[in-house]
Amino acid sequence: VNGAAIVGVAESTLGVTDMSILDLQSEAILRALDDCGLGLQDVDGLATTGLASKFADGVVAEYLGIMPTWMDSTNIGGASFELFLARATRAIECGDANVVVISYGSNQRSMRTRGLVSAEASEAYLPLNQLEVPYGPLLPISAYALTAQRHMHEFGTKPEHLAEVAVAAREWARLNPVAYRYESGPLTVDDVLSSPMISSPLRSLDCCLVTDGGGAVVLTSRERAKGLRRTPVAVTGFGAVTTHRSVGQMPDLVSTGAAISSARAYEMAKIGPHEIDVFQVYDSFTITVLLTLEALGLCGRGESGEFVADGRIRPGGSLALNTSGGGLSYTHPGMLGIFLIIEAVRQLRGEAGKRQVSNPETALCHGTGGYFNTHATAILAVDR
Amino acid sequence: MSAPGSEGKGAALTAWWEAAGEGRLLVERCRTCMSTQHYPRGFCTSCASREVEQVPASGNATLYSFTEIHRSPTPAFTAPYVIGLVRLEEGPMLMCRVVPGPDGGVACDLRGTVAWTDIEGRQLLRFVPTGSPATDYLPLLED
Repeated sequence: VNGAAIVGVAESTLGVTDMSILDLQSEAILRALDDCGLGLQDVDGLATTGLASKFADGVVAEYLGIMPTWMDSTNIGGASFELFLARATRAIECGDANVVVISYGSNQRSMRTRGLVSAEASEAYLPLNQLEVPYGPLLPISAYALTAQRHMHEFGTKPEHLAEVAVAAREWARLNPVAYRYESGPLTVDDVLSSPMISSPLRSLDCCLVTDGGGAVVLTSRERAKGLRRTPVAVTGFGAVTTHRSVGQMPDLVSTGAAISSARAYEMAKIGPHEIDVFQVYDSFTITVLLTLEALGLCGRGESGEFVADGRIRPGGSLALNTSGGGLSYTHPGMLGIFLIIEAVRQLRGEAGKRQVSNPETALCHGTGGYFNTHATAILAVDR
Repeated sequence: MSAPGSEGKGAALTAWWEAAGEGRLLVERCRTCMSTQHYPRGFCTSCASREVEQVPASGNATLYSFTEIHRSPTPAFTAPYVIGLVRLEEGPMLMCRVVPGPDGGVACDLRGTVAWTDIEGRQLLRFVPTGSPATDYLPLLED
């Protein structure tokens, strides 16, 4: 048996925590190791990245007191964690690592820093800083707003279609006890359409939450996974692509690199989009979901608005999408990517409580980084 | 009106900003494959030729997309205002400020012209739709 499997997953405390980035992250890592019955002494691979620090791998390894011999701290934004699944799978397959921990943590909410603060803002060489930032885009929202405006113009997509994505996310979150909006009550399309305009056509309820949170995922070989506590979840396909940085350089505002990354993942996993049971896709904004549904091949180009309009992505609908409540209603501590994996694994193990999808065998996670800059798709399957 | 300092901007973009300081909008054209690109790199991203030159753009453009910003990123910007991506008739896309068209609105695919202007002390490209009486931005939406 070749390949790697996810054997442990966990979130840290979520929401408004007043915890440090390292407290959140180590809490998630220890919980994920407990989940599978492995210990820190078993970990020889670490993949982590974040907003706050260079040398993210060193910072986390030091805090845990481990010395991993395989590490990755590539930062491609919210897509980093789906990329880490691919990298960790390859490392385990070829024997470079035996047990890999993927982790993330952010206390963005407690620290009141919505923006992804980095040294990048002062770097004059970046075309983005010379040619776009001076115009006053509210990034990242305005970049996504430009794609939404064009999609509405070209295909007749309506604000109500965007709103439906937020409404469905809220319905799922009301089934997830750790979701930030678990007890917030239902959301209506009118609620979204009457929320304050931020960067047209996107309103405040088209935008993801700002929360604290950490997450961790543990992988090992499929062989070793058989002897551990939980049903192993194999990584069966993956793909990634980087297409641009500045939104004005996006090759096509209404079609994303997710088409490229997912095509590679489908080919590797020998499966098509209509055969997959559960989808966890990055929902930084409502438009992110619509463009990603098209790029993943779940509906045709320009059709995503009508596709979601019938309640298809709500609980009980025909497409099990973002069953945690997603970045819009569950959690969004700066980057969502790792939480997409955690929820997919919970669904595949049958541990999702009231939001459990009926007997899923396969799941797809799609991470999106920056302004549709980077994409990483991973396909998972129950490994019986 | 003056271009921002050139420190660390790169050779091709420094030349581009120098022209901007004189009110000229340039695009980079490849003498080998005749592709036109923005922003300038000093080589062609289509064929990798170094035989490129920066030539004047006509300023004729079509508004590809836009967004009205109601919450500015810093106090240096006074919301609301509209930014957009315009496609120059030479082919490349670039970001600019946008003023309303003749009917007071903004819509994708409006034609017009883009030129350098001074907005709140900043040198910016501004797209003015054909027939627009507007010289300043007026809010589109009540909120």
